Amino acid sequence: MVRFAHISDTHLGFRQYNLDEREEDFYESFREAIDAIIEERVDFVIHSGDLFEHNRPKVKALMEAQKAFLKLHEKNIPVYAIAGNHDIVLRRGTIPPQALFQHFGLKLLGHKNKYVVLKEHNLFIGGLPYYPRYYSEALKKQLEELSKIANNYKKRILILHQGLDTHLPYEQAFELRLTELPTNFQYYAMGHVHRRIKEKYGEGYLSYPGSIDIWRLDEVEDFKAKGKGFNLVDLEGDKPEIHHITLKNTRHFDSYLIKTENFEKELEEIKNKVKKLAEISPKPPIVGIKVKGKMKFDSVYYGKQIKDAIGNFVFKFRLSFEPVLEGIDIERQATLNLIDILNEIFHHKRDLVDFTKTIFEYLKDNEIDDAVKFAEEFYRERWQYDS
Amino acid sequence: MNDVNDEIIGRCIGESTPSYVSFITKKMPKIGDYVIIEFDNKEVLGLITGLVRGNPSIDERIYDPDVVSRIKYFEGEDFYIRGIVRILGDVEKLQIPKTPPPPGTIIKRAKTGILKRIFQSDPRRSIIIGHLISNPDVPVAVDVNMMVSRHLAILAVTGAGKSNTVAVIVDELLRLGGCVLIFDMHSEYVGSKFNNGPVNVIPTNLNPRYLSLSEFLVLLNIPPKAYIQERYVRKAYKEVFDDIKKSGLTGDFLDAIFKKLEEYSKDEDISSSDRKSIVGAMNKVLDMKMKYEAILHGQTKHILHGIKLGAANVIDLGSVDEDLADVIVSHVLRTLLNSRKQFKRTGEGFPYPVFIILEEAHVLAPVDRQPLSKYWISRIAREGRKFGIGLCLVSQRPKIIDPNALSQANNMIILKLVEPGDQRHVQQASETLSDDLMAQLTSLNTGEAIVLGMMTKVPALVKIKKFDGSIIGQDIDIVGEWKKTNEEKKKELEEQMRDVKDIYESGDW
Repeated sequence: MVRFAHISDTHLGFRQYNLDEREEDFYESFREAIDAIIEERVDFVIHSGDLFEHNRPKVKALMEAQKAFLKLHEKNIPVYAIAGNHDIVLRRGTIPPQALFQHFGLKLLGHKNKYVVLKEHNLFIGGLPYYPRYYSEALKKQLEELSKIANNYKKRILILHQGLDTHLPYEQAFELRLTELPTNFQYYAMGHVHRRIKEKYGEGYLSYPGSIDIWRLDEVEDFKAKGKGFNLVDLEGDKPEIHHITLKNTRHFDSYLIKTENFEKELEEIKNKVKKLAEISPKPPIVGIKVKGKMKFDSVYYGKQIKDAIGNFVFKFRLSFEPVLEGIDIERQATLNLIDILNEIFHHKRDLVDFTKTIFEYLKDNEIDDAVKFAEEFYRERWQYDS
Repeated sequence: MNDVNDEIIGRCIGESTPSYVSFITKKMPKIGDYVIIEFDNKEVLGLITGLVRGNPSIDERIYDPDVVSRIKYFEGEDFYIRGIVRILGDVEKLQIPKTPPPPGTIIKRAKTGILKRIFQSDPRRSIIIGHLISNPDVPVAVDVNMMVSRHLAILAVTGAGKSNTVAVIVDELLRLGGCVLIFDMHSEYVGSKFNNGPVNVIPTNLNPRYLSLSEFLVLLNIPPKAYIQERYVRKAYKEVFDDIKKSGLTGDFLDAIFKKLEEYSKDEDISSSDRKSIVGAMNKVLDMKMKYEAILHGQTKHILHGIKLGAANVIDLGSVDEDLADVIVSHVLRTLLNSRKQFKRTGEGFPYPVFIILEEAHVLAPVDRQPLSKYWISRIAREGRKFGIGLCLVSQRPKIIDPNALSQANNMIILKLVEPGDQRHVQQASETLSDDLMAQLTSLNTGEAIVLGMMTKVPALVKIKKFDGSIIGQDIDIVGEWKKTNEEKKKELEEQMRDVKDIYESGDW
């Protein structure tokens, strides 16, 4: 009987909208997951990368991780982990923060050791840290070698933190094509994509358990459909059995559009929806509202109306305004794709493209503090630049 | 070459005419050599177009090789050389003399100086395309006004040097600050570099509003026999334009057409078979939208507006299908011709002459099919002269080019052509390609050409110069490329593995 938990993209230390509460939400979700894992009496845990939000996590995030791994250690549940793109800097001699927990039962794969073998289960667990796109040839080579060694064992698991062509919406944003994965594993424990994904591949399944909380707004749809959580995997039969375990205390998110022409009526409808959302959400929800109307409307007025209507039901609401120019139908070029443009500008240098895109996303959401912080960090990492 | 200048080659024999004369010699001239014949107080230039070597003792009635060897033993290496000279005209005015040369007249090799005078031209109005095959010291210039206004055809089998010839001509035209428009069927010129001007790649985007009805029908894939669909599309097309005139276009042009068709289909008075046709046409509009999504843009400016003077303007058709290439070529030719006409008439329109290079002319103007481009190619072939639009038809299959278009190409650069059908077709289309010149076509080497037409004073056998910029169309070294790619891949992997080991495995922990 081999049962294990597969968790990923915990992003400890992430501080959404620069809110204490959002940082805390991620810790709480993580704690809830670890407790649920212990309750399930699994044989071991797989963490497929992005344990921390930053490669030099703040002490609070480190302590949360320490507590969790101690708990697992006390119950004799080992953790097999790999480093994700948030955990590492691509520089010689850097140590991923996971290394701190080596003596607490965490085994980091993909560095000195690329696999472990659990003899009692005749089980091979191979893993590699995140490889950027410009090392994809090396990645394929490493996979080939792991695949060969794995064939000596009856059960085979592969842990990766990569975007696959089939699961990333943007062109060029993936590092590996699905078909480039070796086919002789029964379970592909994937990290990096924050949606919950499970599909048949190789001799069993490939699965992204997704992030443990809403890290970016484009995860909201997936969250509404499938929730956030981790996988519980039973490897006993021919094919692994996978159960999605859904966390109960995740704060809910939603977003709405409101037009100024029919403002009062639409606001009333939204108020009802938000009320319902607040009822099901274990913590007061976060709501985004976009106001669309003819140029030069009184945004202060609408902001106040919205606040009066829903302020009491939400933890925070985020307002944005979209003015429509009168009489001019601005035709947008349908083929304009940010990633394409950035790839062209930066000659497909993945880190620069990622950086610019992230900055763009922050600024788009008017999160200037985060953008500045992110930029500083990027410069510090690359060029040891200080403020 | 100076030592052979002015050298006496031989003497005229037999009956001569004002345009041909036979001669006998002991020396060995070469085909393509220019000669001077002096008679009636004139120096006349001629071109050796035929040579025969023989020995009267060893004739075709001998059936035993041993006999031949015995005759040779007695006679030694004795033989005669007989040749034919085509008379090109007097060296002053290049006019064909009114009298034939008398028998016995001395035939001399033409001096380099004389040839230079004949083949050179004012460098501000002419371009140099190469040198004489028989005399590398004599560069050959062609007259640009004549080349552009009387059109040009570049014909050759694959690999004989068409692309190089085109590149040389384009680069030289850029030196004169000219405007060249290349329809690049194989994406050869998109990444090329010319010495005398930039490459200006014009995006192959089309604004559906600028398409003519017939171009529109081709992209919609409505064949001429689908006349019911055509009728309704025509109606929709007209009405949409009327609407645009009245109130401007607010949405997408194709959507507007679609909406019109949808309206017709809901009309209760039409027959069910008509309704079926209309729905079919609606589907075709959707198909067209999807198929050509990447190039049809409502906001695109007209392709003509992208053309620049002093640049090699390239329209890349390498990755579009044949229908679309047809529509783009016809669209550009049609609007360019109209715009040039308008300019001539009113001063508004396309302001300067253009030399248009049509690769794969046999695809765009074929003998046996009627693509849209064919009509506009023959229109420009006929009318372009008056409006300053020159065509350069490039093809490796002259046999299947529309003879109406080809015969309008007054100038020709013919590189190696082997197929007799091709040769005949070219000869029929050209008044200046004589039998004796045509006979040379099979024996030309790569880069060697017969140059004919009004752009040159006399027909010339020319070694086209090597283009020293870069074009992509040249033959690739297959084995080399395989090897190179293999090595690059190996090196790339090694580098990546070294980096990866450095990053992931070097930490001391």
